Amino acid sequence: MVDSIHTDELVRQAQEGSVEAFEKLVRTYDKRVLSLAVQLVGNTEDAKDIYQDVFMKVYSRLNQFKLESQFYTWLYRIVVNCAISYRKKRNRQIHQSIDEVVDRKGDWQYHFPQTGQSPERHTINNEILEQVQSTMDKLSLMERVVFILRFFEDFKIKDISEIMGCAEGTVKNYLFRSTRKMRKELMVFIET
Amino acid sequence: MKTKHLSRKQILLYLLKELSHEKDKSIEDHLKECTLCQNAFAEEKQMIKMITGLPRLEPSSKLMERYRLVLKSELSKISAPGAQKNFLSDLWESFFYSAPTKRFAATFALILLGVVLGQMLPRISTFRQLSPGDAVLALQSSLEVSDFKVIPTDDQSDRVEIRFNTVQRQSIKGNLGDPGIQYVLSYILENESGDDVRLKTIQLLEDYSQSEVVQGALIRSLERDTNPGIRLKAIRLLKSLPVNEKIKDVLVYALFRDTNSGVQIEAANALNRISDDRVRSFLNKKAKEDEYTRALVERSS
Repeated sequence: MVDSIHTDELVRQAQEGSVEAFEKLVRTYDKRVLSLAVQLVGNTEDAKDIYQDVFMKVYSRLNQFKLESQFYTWLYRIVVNCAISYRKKRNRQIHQSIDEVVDRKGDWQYHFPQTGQSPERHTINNEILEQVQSTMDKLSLMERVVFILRFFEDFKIKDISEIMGCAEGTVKNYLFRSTRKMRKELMVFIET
Repeated sequence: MKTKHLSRKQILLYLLKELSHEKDKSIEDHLKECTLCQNAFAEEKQMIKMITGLPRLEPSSKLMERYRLVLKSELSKISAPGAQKNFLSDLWESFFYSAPTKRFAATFALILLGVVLGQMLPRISTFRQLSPGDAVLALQSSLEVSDFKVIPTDDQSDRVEIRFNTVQRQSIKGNLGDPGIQYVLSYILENESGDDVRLKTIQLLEDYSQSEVVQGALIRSLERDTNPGIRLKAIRLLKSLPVNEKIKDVLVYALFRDTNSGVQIEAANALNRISDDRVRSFLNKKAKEDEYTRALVERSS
C-alpha cells in the first residue's frame, strides 16, 4: 500500500484547495481504481464511467473525509458503491471475453502476477481465467465484491469489512460462499 | 491426540493468514496427523494458488493518461474542495471545532432565535384578504380551511380570522356577528372535510344559531354530517331555538334515522319538550321500539 503519511499530506493539501495535490492523489490511486472497477463490473466501458464518477465524487466530497481513517479505505468504498450501483442499473451483466478486452490498441493488457511461467502454463491459466470469470458472473453482487477484494486486491477481511461497511462475520460468510462455488467449478483443474 | 476434523472455512482462513497465531498452531498440529484434512488442505491451497496466480487486467499507461486528461477537464468545471468552503461551511466548522461552552452558547442562541422567529412568523406572514363572497367562491373551488384564529380584543371578542390552505396564503377576517362571516362559516360547517375544522366551526357559531343562515347549516349538519359529535352539537343548538317546522322535522328524522343512539336520545329529549300532537305521535311510535323513549314518554305523561 502507498505510504499513508505521504497520502495524508496530499489529502490535507487537496482539502485546502491544492489542485496539484489532488492530481497527485489521482495519479497514486487511479490505476488501481480502474483495475478494480473493471473487475467489479466485468467490462471496460462501465469501468471508464466508474473511474470518472469516483474521482468526481472524491473531489467534491474530499472535505467530508476525516484523516482519522485510511484514505484508500474511503476511496475503495466509493469505488465499490459506484460499481454496485452500475451493476444494479444493468439488467444483465455485460461481460467481455479476454479477446474483447485485450484489444489491438493495447489499452488493456493481462499481466501475470508471477513471472517466469511457461507458455503452456499461460494457456492453462487462460482456461482457468475464463472459468473463474464465468463463475464470478454467477456469484451474488456482494460475494463477487468480497471475492475480488480478497483474492485479486489482496485486502484483509478487516479492511474489506471497512470498505463495505459491514461486519467481519458478514464478509467471511460472503467469502466462504464464493470460494465454495469457485471450488466446485475449478475442481477439474485441481490435481488430487 | 485425535481432534475434530478441520472445516473448509478454517483451512481457508488459515491459508489466507486471517487467523491468530494460536489457531494457526492448532491447525498445523492437526494437519500433521490427519490425512483427510491434508487432502482438503491441498485442494484449498491449489485453488487459492490458481486464483491468485491468474493474470490481472491492467490499463496501459497511455490509456491512463487519456483518462486523466478527460478527468482533469471534468474537474475543472467544478470548484476545488478548499474553494468550496463558504461562509456557512466556515461557520459550521468553527462551530464544531470550538470549545464546548462556546458550542453550548451557540446552540442556546440558535434555539432562542428559532423560538423568537417562530413567535413572530405568524404575525409577519401576509395573507391576501378575501371578501366573504370571494371566500365562498374559493371554498367552492375546493379550497381547504387550514386554520381558524379567534382574535380577542377588549371590545371585539368575537373577531375571527379564517385561513385557507392554498399556495397563495388567503384569509378572511371579520366579526362573528357579520352575516358574511356567518355565511362562510356555515358553508365550512356543511362542506369542509376535516372533522376538527367542522367541530371548531360549530363551536364558533354557538352564539349565533338564531341567524337564519346558521340555523339552516345546523339543520343540514344534523341530517348529513358523518361525525356524531357534530350532529349532537347541532341538536343541542337547535333545541335552544324557537321551534319551527324545519326543526321539528329534522329532530324527528334524527329520532328515527340517525345511526347513533346518543343522537337519537338527544333528539327524543329535544322533541319531548315540544307540545305538539304530531311530535307526540312520533314519540309514541318510537316508544314502542325503544326503551329510553318509552320511559321518557311515560315520565312526561
